[in-house]
Amino acid sequence: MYYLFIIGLKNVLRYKRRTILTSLVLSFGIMIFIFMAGMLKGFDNKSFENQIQFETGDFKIRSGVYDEDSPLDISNFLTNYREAEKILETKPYIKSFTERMGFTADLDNGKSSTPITVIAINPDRENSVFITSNFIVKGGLEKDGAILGQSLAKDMNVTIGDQVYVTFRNAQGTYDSVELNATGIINAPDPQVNNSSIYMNISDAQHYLNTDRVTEIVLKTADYRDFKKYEPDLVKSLQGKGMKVYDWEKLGQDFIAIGQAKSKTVGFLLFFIAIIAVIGIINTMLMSVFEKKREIGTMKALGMTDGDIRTIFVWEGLLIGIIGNIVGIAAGILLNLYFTVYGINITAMLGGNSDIDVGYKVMGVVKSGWDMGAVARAVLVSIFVSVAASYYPASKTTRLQPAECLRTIQ
Amino acid sequence: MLLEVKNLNKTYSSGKIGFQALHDISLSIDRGEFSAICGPSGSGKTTLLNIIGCIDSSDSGEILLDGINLAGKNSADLAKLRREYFGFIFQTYNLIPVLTAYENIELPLKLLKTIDDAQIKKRVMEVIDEVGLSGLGNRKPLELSGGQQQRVSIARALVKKPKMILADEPTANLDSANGESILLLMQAMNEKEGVTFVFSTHDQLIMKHARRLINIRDGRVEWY
Repeated sequence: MYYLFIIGLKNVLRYKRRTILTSLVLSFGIMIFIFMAGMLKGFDNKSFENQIQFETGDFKIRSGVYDEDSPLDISNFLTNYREAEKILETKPYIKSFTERMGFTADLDNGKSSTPITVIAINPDRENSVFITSNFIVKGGLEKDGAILGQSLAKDMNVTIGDQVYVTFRNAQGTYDSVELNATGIINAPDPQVNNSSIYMNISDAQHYLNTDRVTEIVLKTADYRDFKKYEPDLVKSLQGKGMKVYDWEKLGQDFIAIGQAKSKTVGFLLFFIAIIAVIGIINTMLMSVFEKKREIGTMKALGMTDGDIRTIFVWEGLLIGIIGNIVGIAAGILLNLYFTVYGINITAMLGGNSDIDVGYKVMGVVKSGWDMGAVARAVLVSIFVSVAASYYPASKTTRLQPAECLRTIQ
Repeated sequence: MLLEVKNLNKTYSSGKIGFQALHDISLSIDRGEFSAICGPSGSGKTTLLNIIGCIDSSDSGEILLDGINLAGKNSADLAKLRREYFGFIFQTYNLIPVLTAYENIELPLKLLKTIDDAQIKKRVMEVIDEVGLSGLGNRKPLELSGGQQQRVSIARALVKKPKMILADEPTANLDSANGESILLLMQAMNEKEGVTFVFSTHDQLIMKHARRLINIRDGRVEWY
């Protein structure tokens, strides 16, 4: 078998330009695939990071009968959250926690209104769980004041010092409206925050809602990736207290489902690379078979079996695939490496318009990640395709009589 | 008797047009013969040689090779017969261009899969010496003259000591000096090794040296 490989190898080296061109097409596809898979991974990573750092924390503790559709319903409030906090303080894996209240409302600037999410925070503890305050670009949180997402403020033509009205459905199910001063602007890399959120002091919210309770406690653990390790103990500790534990994965399940759908894009890309490889290699191998018809005749006359000759051509296709893979992986790694360091400014790419929803919780510079599973899939698929694509042209040689091949004029 | 051909017929078809290349050919070849199938161009010499060598098929008739009837043999069986029984020498040499002279010559032995690498090397070097190509083993075919390429082709045919060598117009592409030299080489191999040679030719020189002439015209044996 070794001599069949050697003949295949020498044939590949014989038409260097053609081998290089076919391999390069495959390399280009693999390079783009590695880069795209890396970028999607980077978008996913950044999105999860933003979700955890701005919206969900690692865990949320809510009422056992919490209803997301009516967040300010009386049953959604945690009646004994101070007691729960005492338990949380004893857990070594919990680094910090804070109380929050989140509900939907309408923001009115006196001329128009828009739906928003109100996030009522405890300013003393917020920074220990979330990184929100790092992105306040103007002003800050004051009594009876609100921090608005930058895009929201721009769309509603609100600047610091302006008054806005927030209308919401209170615990009794009737509509209330409060007047707030715009005291700060936040420009976070999370479009949810920037485009449709306002922050207010939780004590103000409790005052407006006439309650001393909160709707959720948000936790930060030693490592959010270990949430499955911590969750059973957390659930056990809070058992019988009318509370329910939500991990960040559960809280982001809609987004995760979208992310998984998007990962199918990578699958499509792999399919197109396979098509490119098939067309390129079949074309090259058909030319190779046609040009070597006399040689095939000679090899058959010398006693080579159809299987031997097919093996030579399959080796040729496989070697082209291997060359394409090596170059493509190297180029893909280099390209992706650049973007893992410098990233892509997604907002700049969208012409500075942060209102455009790209389907990810990302804004600003997003750095690429490494999707090694996708790289491995690309290698396996392209090698398989290289062999499969050369099998068809190689099989054409078996139908030819040796004398018929030898009669070919070349 | 090494080979017996009975009532062989062959027609080439191109669309609706058919051309009968061989008409009811019958002949036999004994071991150690140095024979030439001669006749004008288009008479069917090469077709007959190809069918005898199992690289083409006949429409009807029977071929017995060493008593083995070739009828009904599949592609793998025919490849095995070609590997074990025949050596081929072609007018246009038909060397594998990516392989060196040495590699071209060793290829039939590699295909036999019965000899180890050390023996293969010994045998190849021996044949290279016999055909006068010492020192040229590392050259690719395109780096050799026509005469040298044909010597490589002869060495490739001889290296496995086949029962029969079929040579299709082996001197047609060579000048007369080279042609004679090649012919004398094959004659020496026939005498020394006892290898059966069957030529297809219209070269007078080969016809002069052949011990038997089989003359065919319009696909029919005229005399032998």
